[in-house]
Amino acid sequence: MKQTIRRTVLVTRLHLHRSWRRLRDRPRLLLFQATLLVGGWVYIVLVGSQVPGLEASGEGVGDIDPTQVRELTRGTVAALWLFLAGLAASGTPTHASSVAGGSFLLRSADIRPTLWGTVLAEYARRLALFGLFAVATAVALLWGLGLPTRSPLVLLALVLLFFTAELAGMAARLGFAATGYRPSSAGRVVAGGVALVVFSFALGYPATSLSVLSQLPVANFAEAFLVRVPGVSPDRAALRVTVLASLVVVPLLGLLTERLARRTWFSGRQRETPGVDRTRMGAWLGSLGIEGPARAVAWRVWLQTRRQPITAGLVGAPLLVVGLGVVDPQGVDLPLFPLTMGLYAVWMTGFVLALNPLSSEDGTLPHLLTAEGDEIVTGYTLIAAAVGLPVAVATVVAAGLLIGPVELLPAALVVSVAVFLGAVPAGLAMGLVLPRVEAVPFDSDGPITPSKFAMAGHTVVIVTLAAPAALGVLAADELGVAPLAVVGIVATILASLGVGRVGQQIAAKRFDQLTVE
Amino acid sequence: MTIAIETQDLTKRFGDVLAVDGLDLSVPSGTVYGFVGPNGAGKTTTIRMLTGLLQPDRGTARVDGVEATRRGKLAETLGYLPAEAPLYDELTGREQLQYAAQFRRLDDGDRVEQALVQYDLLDAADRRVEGYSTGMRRKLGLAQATLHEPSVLILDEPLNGLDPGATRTVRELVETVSDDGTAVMVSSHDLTTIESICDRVGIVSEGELVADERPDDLSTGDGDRDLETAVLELTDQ
Repeated sequence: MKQTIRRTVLVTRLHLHRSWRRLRDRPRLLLFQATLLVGGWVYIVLVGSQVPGLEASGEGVGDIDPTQVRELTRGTVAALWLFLAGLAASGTPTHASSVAGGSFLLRSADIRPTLWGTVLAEYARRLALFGLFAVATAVALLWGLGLPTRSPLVLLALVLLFFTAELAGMAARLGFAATGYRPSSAGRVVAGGVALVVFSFALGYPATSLSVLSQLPVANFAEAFLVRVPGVSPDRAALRVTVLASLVVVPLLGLLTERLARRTWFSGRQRETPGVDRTRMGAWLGSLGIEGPARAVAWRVWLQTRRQPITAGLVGAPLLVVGLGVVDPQGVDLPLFPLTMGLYAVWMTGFVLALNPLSSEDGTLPHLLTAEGDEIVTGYTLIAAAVGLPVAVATVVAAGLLIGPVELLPAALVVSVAVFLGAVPAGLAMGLVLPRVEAVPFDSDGPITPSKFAMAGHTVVIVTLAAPAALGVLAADELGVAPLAVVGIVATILASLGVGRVGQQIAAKRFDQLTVE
Repeated sequence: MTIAIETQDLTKRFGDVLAVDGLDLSVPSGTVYGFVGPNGAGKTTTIRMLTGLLQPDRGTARVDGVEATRRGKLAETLGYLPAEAPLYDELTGREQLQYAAQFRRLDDGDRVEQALVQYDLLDAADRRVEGYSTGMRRKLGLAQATLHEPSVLILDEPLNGLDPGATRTVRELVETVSDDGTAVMVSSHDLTTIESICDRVGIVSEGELVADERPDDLSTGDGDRDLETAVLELTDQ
């Protein structure tokens, strides 16, 4: 036991030693964080010092319905618990190789000191980063509201809330890993989409969401904060049961976490297997009469996109924004909402599929050696159209029908498609003229984002192309002169086709000029 | 003669891939054992099971009589250097060894200094590991793996990416460690070095041990073949 504690402390020290040295490599970041902390501290103490006065004047909760206060507090505490558990789950390693320095620590210190030493170091890092702020907040609020004098259980409840959430999150993550089930990338995208919808709903209907969350057992921790709040009768029995249960559950969860880590970290079951899913895209392109290098380029880009569904899923982000607008109880009142969403979809397609054609040397090099620039551009444009155009159309239709104004739907549709035809080839050209040249992490397997300049250029192109149509529609609405809208839309269509053609030529030329050094 | 490394029916499967298939291995103490085979033959998987970092699906692995699953006890008898030395870039070479010494409750002062001298790292001892060359990293990794004077040392691809000078240094260090009575298992594709430093060579192919003999016996099996030819023949390449 003594040795385990000694080694746990040593693991913690080692991690903190590394973090401290890394931090000192970036003094400006250190200065920024320190300033933030001191600023936050000063602010919190100033605000906190005012609280006792407010409370003494009896204006604290007097005008609020006590039932609401209780439900709000319980729901907020449950939400905090879920947030902490989620954070812990996301940071829990599920394999020995994902433990920092695992092959050294696990052979020098074994699993228990490695696990708890790493966790302690993480807590210490968080405390160092947010600790001053958090402590200042806690002290100011607890002192200001007099909570410790109201119930000695407040601090204990806070501590138990933190540990139950952390350990439950870790155990849940390791338990899931122990099942050996690995969701497919597409499955993860669907799960992420569902989570986003649920989160959007929670944001749209906070009162309902907090009311639902307040029913969770972990919400009982909130009763500690409600002791002696005027008009509120806390459920002391529920609080006592929750605290007692947590005192039992915390060590059990600790043991469970350790056992699960022992089981999963060395099982080798979490090893990634590269996907080899097949696609009919090649045959479909052939049936459209697209053959040769252009088809090969389109097929490769499609395969790459399909095997990174999380990246590809970004193309659908505008649909989620429309969903958020639908559940927004305040409603959305923007005359150009469908068009704005359509242009957002065009931007996203460019971001994912056009702005970074040189992102992967492995993928791009064979085409540079075997295809003409024109054919490469055609391949990219085809895939952007096959993936992005249906999303753009669906976004505009959903925005027009579900939020409106519905009468602008046809115009928004035409303008979005036109801008799409201009922005995608122009985006390719932009990605080649302004490629990303910053360093990226060597072990990064995520999407390599385009250069900021290319993204800015892409935005300017889309806004400029859409401007005549948008101004025409607004002017027609304002002045009651319908032809102004038609003129604006036609100008956008012509400009888009022209920009698309020029973009296509520049991109093709750039591809042809690329050399391997 | 005591046995330093022993596996019986050692088996590991990753999904559809049978990485190690009922491997029976026996390495006597004081031996330098070469562990060779093509990429994907199961060498690293076997080594990871021997070091306790991977659980076998079936069978047992023992190092100096200690079950590989007993990682705490194993750490006292086994030194291990994976292909990528487990070093922390933010630390200096001296600090890295000091931590290793503290984990093993060694007198870090003397032992660390001795290791720095032995592995010719004294001049670079107070430089950060991130600035070390491949050869220096390998030497520091070796120093760390042997700091507690283990009775068995396992080296996974210790010669990868080393220039001829660094290769010679590592080879000499292995010989020095071996002369002290430590059993050394070396996995490598550098068959010339394997032939020159190993007392025995085990050839693994598709997770199975297809040969386990002295290098001379393997090289001259039918009169005039070298170790490379023997490995290629025995692994159907």
